[in-house]
Amino acid sequence: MTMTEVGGPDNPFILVNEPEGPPSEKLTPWEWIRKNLFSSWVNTLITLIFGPIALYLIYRFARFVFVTGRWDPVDSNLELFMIGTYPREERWRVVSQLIVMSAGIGGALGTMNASAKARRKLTGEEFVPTSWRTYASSYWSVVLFVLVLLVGFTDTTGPWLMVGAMVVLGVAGWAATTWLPDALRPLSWSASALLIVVSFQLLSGTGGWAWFYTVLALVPLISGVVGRLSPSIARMAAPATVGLGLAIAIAALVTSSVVVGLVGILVGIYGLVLVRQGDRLDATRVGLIMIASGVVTVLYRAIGLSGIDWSEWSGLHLTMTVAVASTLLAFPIGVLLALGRRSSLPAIRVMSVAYIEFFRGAPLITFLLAGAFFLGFFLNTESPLSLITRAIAAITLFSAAYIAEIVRGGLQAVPKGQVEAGLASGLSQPQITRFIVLPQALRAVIPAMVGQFISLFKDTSLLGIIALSEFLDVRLLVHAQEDFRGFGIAETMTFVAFGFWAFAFAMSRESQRLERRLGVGQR
Amino acid sequence: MLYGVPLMAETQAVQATRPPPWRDVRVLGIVGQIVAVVSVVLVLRWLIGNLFTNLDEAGIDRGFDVLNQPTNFAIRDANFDSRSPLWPDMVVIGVKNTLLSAAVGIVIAVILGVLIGIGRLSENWLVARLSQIYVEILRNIPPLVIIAFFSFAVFTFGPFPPFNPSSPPWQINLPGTDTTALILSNDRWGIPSIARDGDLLPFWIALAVAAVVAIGLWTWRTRVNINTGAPHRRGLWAWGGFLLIAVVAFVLLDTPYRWSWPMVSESGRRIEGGFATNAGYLSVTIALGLYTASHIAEIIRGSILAVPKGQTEAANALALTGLQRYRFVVLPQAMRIAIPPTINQFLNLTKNTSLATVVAYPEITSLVKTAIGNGKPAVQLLVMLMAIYLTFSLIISVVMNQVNRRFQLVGR
Amino acid sequence: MTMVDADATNIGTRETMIELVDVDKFFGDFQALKKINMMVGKQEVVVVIGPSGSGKSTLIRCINRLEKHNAGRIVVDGTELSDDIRNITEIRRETGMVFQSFNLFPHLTVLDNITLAPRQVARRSKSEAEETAMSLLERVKIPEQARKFPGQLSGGQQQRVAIARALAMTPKVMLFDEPTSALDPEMIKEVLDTMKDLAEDGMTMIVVTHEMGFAREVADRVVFMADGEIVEVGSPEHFFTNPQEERTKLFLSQIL
Repeated sequence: MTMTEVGGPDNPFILVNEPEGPPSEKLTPWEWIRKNLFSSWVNTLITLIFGPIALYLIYRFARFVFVTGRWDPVDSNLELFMIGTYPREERWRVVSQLIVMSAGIGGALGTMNASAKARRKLTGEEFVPTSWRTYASSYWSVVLFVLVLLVGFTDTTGPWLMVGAMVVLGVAGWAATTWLPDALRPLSWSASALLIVVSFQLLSGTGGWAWFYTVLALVPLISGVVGRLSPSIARMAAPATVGLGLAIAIAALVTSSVVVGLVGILVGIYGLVLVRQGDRLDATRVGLIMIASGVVTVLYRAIGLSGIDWSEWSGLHLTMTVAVASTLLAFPIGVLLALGRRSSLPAIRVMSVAYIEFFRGAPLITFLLAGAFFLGFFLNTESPLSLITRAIAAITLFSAAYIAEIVRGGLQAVPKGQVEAGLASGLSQPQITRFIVLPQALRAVIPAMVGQFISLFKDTSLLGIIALSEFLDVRLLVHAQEDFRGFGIAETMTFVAFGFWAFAFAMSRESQRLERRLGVGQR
Repeated sequence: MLYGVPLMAETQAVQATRPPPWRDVRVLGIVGQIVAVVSVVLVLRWLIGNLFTNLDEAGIDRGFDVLNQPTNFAIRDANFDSRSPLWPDMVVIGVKNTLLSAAVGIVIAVILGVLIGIGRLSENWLVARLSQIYVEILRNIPPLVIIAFFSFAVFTFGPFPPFNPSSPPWQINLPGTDTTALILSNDRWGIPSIARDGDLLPFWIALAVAAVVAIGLWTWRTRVNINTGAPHRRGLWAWGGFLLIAVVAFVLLDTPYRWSWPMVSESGRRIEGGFATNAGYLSVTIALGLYTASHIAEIIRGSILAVPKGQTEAANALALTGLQRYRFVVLPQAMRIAIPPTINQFLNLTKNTSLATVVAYPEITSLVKTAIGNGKPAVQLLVMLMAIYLTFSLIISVVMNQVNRRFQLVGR
Repeated sequence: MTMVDADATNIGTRETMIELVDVDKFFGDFQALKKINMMVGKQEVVVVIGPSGSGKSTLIRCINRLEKHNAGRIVVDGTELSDDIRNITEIRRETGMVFQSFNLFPHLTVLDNITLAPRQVARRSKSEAEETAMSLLERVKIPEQARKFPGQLSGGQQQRVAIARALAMTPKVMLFDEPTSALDPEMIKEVLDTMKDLAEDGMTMIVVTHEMGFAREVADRVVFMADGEIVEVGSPEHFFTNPQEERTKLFLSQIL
């Protein structure tokens, strides 16, 4: 087999400390210039040609930014670029979303850091925390963007306070979860996830599927707590919790939703099977998750926070939401398609290939147009789907095909021997996929997935074509204003390009860093 | 059972016994496939059934005949008025424009991409840095933003003057003559082009002869090189011979081709002669060329770096000079790595020309979108549009397979 | 049993554990196994040797259905290996396999590698499975490595973990596919010692190997294969001192 194994002979699942460059020899500035710019006559000639060109370009650019640029259209419409036509009286929701989410993301990163550290302790390796320099070299573009927004385009203190709160809470979340004792790790996972979920609920309200995400965020905590139960308690808890869960499912069936109730009953039956098989801890987990679903639903109903409709979202806010939502939705579909493409059953393989090649063959815009014009016709929904929902559906179906190809690459990189070892141990094909192949394949494709997210993020600029005001198309609203008609176009375009660039650049740096850290592609 | 006696020796048939069907892996596999296919077909049937019902309810025609009726809109710079049908006239113009933009964009992307890709590995710090900055900026901005930037910030609202009788465009003459070489405005540009002049057949025959001669020279020099070891310089010989004959024929046949210079028409609204093009075309082509160049540069750089270090060391051990090392060892291997992803970039660029909808360049997607806006049925048109792009993809993947087959290393 | 011949079905007075009758295996047009007849008795150690490409790996890979045989029958402990999914699962549970390239799961710790199948296939509780795993690790003499990842271990240690993993399902038969071929010379001994211990404890084993010392010392019978056929079978002492077939003599002269 000529294919290189991921990470080669060494374990790819232990993060490699970033390779250091060769020790740089100390050069005086003069020596450095000679070595890098004038080492030969060709080199000198090139320097003499490109040097003035570079200086001129820098001069022109600086002049444009600081002297000639007419930035009023951006200056007076910054809020429009950020949140578009989002109702101004509901702005507190966006602000609190950002602040709460920062705490959650900080907490998640801290937890990740702490669990990596704890694992190193067990395996006896040295733990080298990622330095601030490394983070800075990845994320300086986003910091620059935020600073430009704050320093250049805001006159009030509100945005400063918001960013300040985000930073403080993010760091607080990171610090808290980093220093929390190992025993409380499930708690910090759940707490971080919960903060992120809650931040999203601030915008979309507590109806719909809110309970589902919330329970999902609680799973680590429930699982961790149950893992600590003594056998005697678990023996009693298992039937009790599953029974209560079933009761809740039946109540849901009668009172609110038939579908949710039926699914709940199926889950409850699975719990009963686990009780019968003697797997009491897992049974208790299933029972507690069902109970949590019921409690959270009731709780959310009591809160009754109504959502801000999708159709009100626009600007950078919409761009971000669509990119994240489509990636999250497309990921499971992509994984299934990749597995289907590698299936031993020809019919399933052919269908997966047909899907993948169809969506990869035509540009995204054709699917967006289809989404805008007739996607709703395929379904018999009572009320027509909103334009944003249809757009997200189209982007999701589209990017699932690309994710499938990425995951397929990861699957191919898992050596055949891994599957054989699984078969020889008596594991079933689904178990091998779940426990052996997918964890390795998905880990190997993380950098490529970040790359796919970048291109999806860039592709959201196409939403303007179907009349959704994302970040790029806000400029149409701006230049429709009396004061800015046909004025400062280059400036708004530059601003938009800078915004897209700042995020895409940071992510691409992060992707390169992950690639090095995971040792992907090393021989 | 006796010790040492084969368990099943008495049965002569050594075929494995068949298990009951519900436990037979082969039966299970077939049943699984049938279930999968049937459920997918059912879901598709349901979806398409819904589509048809909803279309009928909305009173939308779902036949493909509507495509043969007049489009009711005109396309500028093309022989197409509102009575022309959508199929095939509009499609032909659209596909032609798509390919025109893609082809020129690819040329820009390849030339720039290769230069910048090599530039990133330059020993000269300045060149390496400038190349890196180019790549890091262009690669991380959505192509649509770049297109819109060119269209709105550079052309429509940029420094160029409008084009109408009261405000003539910039006309740049050839130095020392009255001939206009360039016409620049915020909307349309005129550049010189090549026009035929008189009978072309003799000239083409002459070119064919030149080609044959060139091949002959190539073969002869190759043989000389193999037999005597003298440097072959076959490229020089072959191209030299070809160009010599071509130039002589061109002069003798009284210049069958000549320059066509652009000129502002008397009405002051149109460009006559030369190659007239509009801001939409320029924006799309230049923007996609620049954007794709950043990706190709990364491919080139990655491919050169991917050639194992040992190869360079081995070449050094054979005492090849720096240039020979590149020419015979590094580049051939880097090419093999670079070509498939580069072809993929060509396909991406072709698909990205669909972004021209925002700048009203009449390639196929924006024509289809206009037609839908004019009340043509969206379903049929978009199905047709997807089919067109799928055809492009199919052609590229056939090319790709051929290339891969040619470039694959022979190995175990 | 002292004679040397090509009849691999003679297991003396042992009870039958594995039986192969007229087994054929094709890879496309290439016939990898030609009408193989062989029996392995309970608690017997059979060492299979032969030049590369002789079909010895294919032989043991057919026994637990990593390769599907095309004709003939394979019976393991009374269960016939057919298309019956229940039989396949049962046979895979009852046979443990050790690979040339270890095939440890790099994303799991040593402990998780060993407990995966007991937890998921045999549905044992976590604590029970880990207790068994620890005792197995003690048996292969590396209990202190339990929390490490395979990539942190030496080749010999990895192979011993692989043996422990295979033993975790309490198999009735162990299949070894060139277990020492990927190891550095100084690590071969530790793996062979582990295998010796296993044989002394009465495990039924089929071992494909080039380690002639191991064959001589531990094997009950040695099977020599070439070109997909069993050429010669015999007890180690006769096999190494007095081979009958030309092909066997040639092979032995090349490697000894």
